[in-house]
Amino acid sequence: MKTADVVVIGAGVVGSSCALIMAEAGLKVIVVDRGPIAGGTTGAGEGNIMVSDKEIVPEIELAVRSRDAWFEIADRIGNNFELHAKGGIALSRTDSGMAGLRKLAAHQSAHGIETIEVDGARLRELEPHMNPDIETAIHYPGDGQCQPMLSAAYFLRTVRHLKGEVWQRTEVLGFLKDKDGAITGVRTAREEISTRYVVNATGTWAGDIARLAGSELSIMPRRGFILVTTPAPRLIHHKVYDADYVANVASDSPELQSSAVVEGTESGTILIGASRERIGFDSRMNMAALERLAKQAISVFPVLSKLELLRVYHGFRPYSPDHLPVIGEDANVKGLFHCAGHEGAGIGTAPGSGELLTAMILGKPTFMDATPFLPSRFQGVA
Amino acid sequence: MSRTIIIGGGPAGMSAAVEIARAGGDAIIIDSNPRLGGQYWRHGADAKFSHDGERFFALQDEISRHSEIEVRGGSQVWRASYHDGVASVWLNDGTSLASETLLIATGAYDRSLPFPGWDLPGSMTAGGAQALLKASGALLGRAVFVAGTGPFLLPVAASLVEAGVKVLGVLEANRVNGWINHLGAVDFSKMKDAARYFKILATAKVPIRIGYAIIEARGDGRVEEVVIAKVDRNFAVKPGSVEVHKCDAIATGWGFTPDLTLAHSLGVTTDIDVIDRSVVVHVDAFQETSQHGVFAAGESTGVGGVDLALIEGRVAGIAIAVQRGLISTMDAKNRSVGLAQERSRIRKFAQALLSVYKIREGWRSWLHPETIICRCEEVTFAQVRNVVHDLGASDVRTAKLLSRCGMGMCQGRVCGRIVADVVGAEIGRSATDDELRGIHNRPIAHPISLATLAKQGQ
Ligand SMILES: Cc1cc2nc3c(=O)[nH]c(=O)nc-3n(C[C@H](O)[C@H](O)[C@H](O)COP(=O)(O)OP(=O)(O)OC[C@H]3O[C@@H](n4cnc5c(N)ncnc54)[C@H](O)[C@@H]3O)c2cc1C
Ligand SMILES: Cc1cc2nc3c(=O)[nH]c(=O)nc-3n(C[C@H](O)[C@H](O)[C@H](O)COP(=O)(O)OP(=O)(O)OC[C@H]3O[C@@H](n4cnc5c(N)ncnc54)[C@H](O)[C@@H]3O)c2cc1C
Repeated sequence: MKTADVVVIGAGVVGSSCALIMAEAGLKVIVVDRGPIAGGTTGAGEGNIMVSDKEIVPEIELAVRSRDAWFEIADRIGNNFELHAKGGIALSRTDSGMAGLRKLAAHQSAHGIETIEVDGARLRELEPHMNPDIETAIHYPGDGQCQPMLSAAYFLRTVRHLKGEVWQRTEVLGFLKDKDGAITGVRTAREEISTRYVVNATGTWAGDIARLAGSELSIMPRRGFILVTTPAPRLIHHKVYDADYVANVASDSPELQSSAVVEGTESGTILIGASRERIGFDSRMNMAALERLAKQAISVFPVLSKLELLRVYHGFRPYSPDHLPVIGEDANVKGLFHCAGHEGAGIGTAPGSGELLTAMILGKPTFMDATPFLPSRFQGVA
Repeated sequence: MSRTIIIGGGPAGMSAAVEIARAGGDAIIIDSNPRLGGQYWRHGADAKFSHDGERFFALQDEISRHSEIEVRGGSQVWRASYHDGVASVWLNDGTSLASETLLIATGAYDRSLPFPGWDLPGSMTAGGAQALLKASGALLGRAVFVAGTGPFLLPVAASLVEAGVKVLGVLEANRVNGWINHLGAVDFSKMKDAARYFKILATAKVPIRIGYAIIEARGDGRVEEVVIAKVDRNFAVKPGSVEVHKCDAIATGWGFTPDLTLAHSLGVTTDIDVIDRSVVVHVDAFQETSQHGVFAAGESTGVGGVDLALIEGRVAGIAIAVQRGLISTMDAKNRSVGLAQERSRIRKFAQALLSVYKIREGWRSWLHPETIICRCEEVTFAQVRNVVHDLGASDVRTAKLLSRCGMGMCQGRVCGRIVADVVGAEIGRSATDDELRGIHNRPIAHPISLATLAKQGQ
């Protein structure tokens, strides 16, 4: 039988971050995914490493550490994944909206996020094509950007170089436990792996793995569409979004929500994201979502009306009942650690999540108080 | 019942429209080209044809006589969907249409194979060269090689000669003996066509070389010379056969890929052709697809040439008329005499052609590490290999997303199949049926202006 110190289920950005950090800590890691690498939500995300949209303190702490960790990883393994500090701009065209943004910015800067209020003239310097009716905004120099699939792939490449293994197209079938119910191994479609620790990094599907292990976890899908334009010379330099976006993230209404987040990419295309809908795993195109995104984006950058929509893609963000990720040991199954439910922030917060989880498994101090993320907040202890 | 929507005004779409009109029905033909005719009868405003213009004018005249048939040229369908028995299409002018009956007659596009230098200006597809000539009379170069495989290399070379271009050679990679027999087997008129092409080429002293291929194009900023080689039955280069020739343009053609983008969006069942593994729409004897009321005709059901497209279009038109209650099945039978028989005869012949002019796997040996695989995103063969062997991409989709191959302007129309085959070979297996189908998965069939999209639904 194969043995590993840790088995990570899920080869998305979260699982590969966990695997990377644990392999670097000297653990023998096997990553198991039923599909290809980065074939889940990670292959449908935008790659924003955002600190600017975080409101709750633990979220802010996780996002800030993760952002720094992203750049540290790039220093260690090489920046092959288009990581750069692009900066974000949050705007609103209403007084109440701006008041909300200012209040949030004050709160964020008290917790280590750099925020700068900019006037129209400065805004035009930052974004020459922005609609002149936008007169003020908050600039977040600390927001970053990466290519998520490449990131996951390069993390896993490093894991392999550190004697770890990546098993693609291998379904996890069940778990082996000792008489006290603690994990002793994983049954997979390929072979059994003897291990004391399992990381459940299956994103939107994390509830299934919890159930397979005899526990429970509520992670649900929230659909998002992203528009990709035809390539154009650099028109947009930051990640630009209006205040509604921040409001939408925390909103509990199931119907379509959208607010334009507009940004350019290295390949010249412009991404316009992202709608939010809670309608299960439904892959059908929603024209209303596309129209709305296009309309909103043009209202911020009128120049976009000259571009064409090239492609649309969608994904399902994994969310938990309180919209915070679930990071930590299962309350019912010893040795099963969850790292899932990062919703619309899983790219950005993956490395910090991996650090928390690695510290928990190794019994080391965590960089922040991880209590708000523990699965036990939803799980009745058996 | 709403009027029938016909996407594509080529031979298939035109003949279907005529049958619907004859049955007293109405229809709208949508084509991104300003003029009817499709690939085969592509022409400029002067409507000059080198050949076979009579059949085109007969169809066009009949269509224009029927006011129930609207022709909306210069209009592109950028999205289609099927829901509860109703097919909907969205046009690039911001309008949309819906109907209980729709015909997919979207034809096929050129299939390309990459080789070092295929991305240089002056290198184009055979169909592209032909279209350029037909649409604008533009000369693509003064001294040109035509290469690839398939019977369509001949008409392309012939029309170049007629346009005053010096054709330095026609290179057919497959070991075909008696080209003329293949062409002639369709019917007598084809025989005459073939003889005419050969005569034009012979008079111009154009060498036709069987078992040869262009394996490289070179030049400083545009094609200046080509490397030609004799290839074996598997398309691998025969040692010692390499020649270098000066030229200023090349036209290469490797058959056709049926355009299934909209068919895919409409959710119809597709088949994988047993010979060339192209994806084709599955249709029944009446050209109806798996979706009730959605029909398909012409190259979208499998590449078979203009005569097959015309027949399939007629069969579909008559079947649509029956489904709409315009004519009885008895009446339909009378209108369809001989069609089914003729269709199966040409289909059989088309399959035979496909196996003779099959693309053999050895073409991949022409690739250099720095050969561009995806022209839009400028992804090289080495980069594709790298995402498979170094990054662990284990399927076509992952390889695409990690390398950006097929993610550019053409959305994989040019390189989709190439990437599937190259990645498959690197992984050590053939592309799966689903991966081949995935090539046509483009919910946005063609780029649409954001401004138009934003106004939609207002
Ligand atoms: C439209 C959209 C835009 C987004 N934009 C951003 C953004 O800009 N910034 C940001 O930070 N986040 C963004 N997100 C969110 C981000 O994409 C996700 O939070 C993140 O990708 C989640 O990663 P993951 O590794 O947890 O899940 P996934 O990437 O889904 O990985 C889970 C893996 O688990 C595997 N798996 C599932 N079940 C099993 C099983 N039983 N056995 C084996 N393997 C299994 C799956 O195959 C999959 O590979 C966006 C999301 C969407 C939908
Ligand atoms: C260079 C060349 C030479 C050929 N020579 C011969 C020959 O000698 N003999 C022979 O039998 N055949 C020949 N053919 C093949 C012949 O052209 C086809 O068999 C025939 O045109 C197929 O008819 P069709 O109606 O199926 O498709 P097409 O003629 O391809 O028509 C499809 C139409 O659909 C339209 N369309 C597609 N998608 C959309 C969309 N989304 N929105 C709007 N419009 C759309 C296209 O613009 C096109 O006009 C040749 C083809 C080429 C390229």
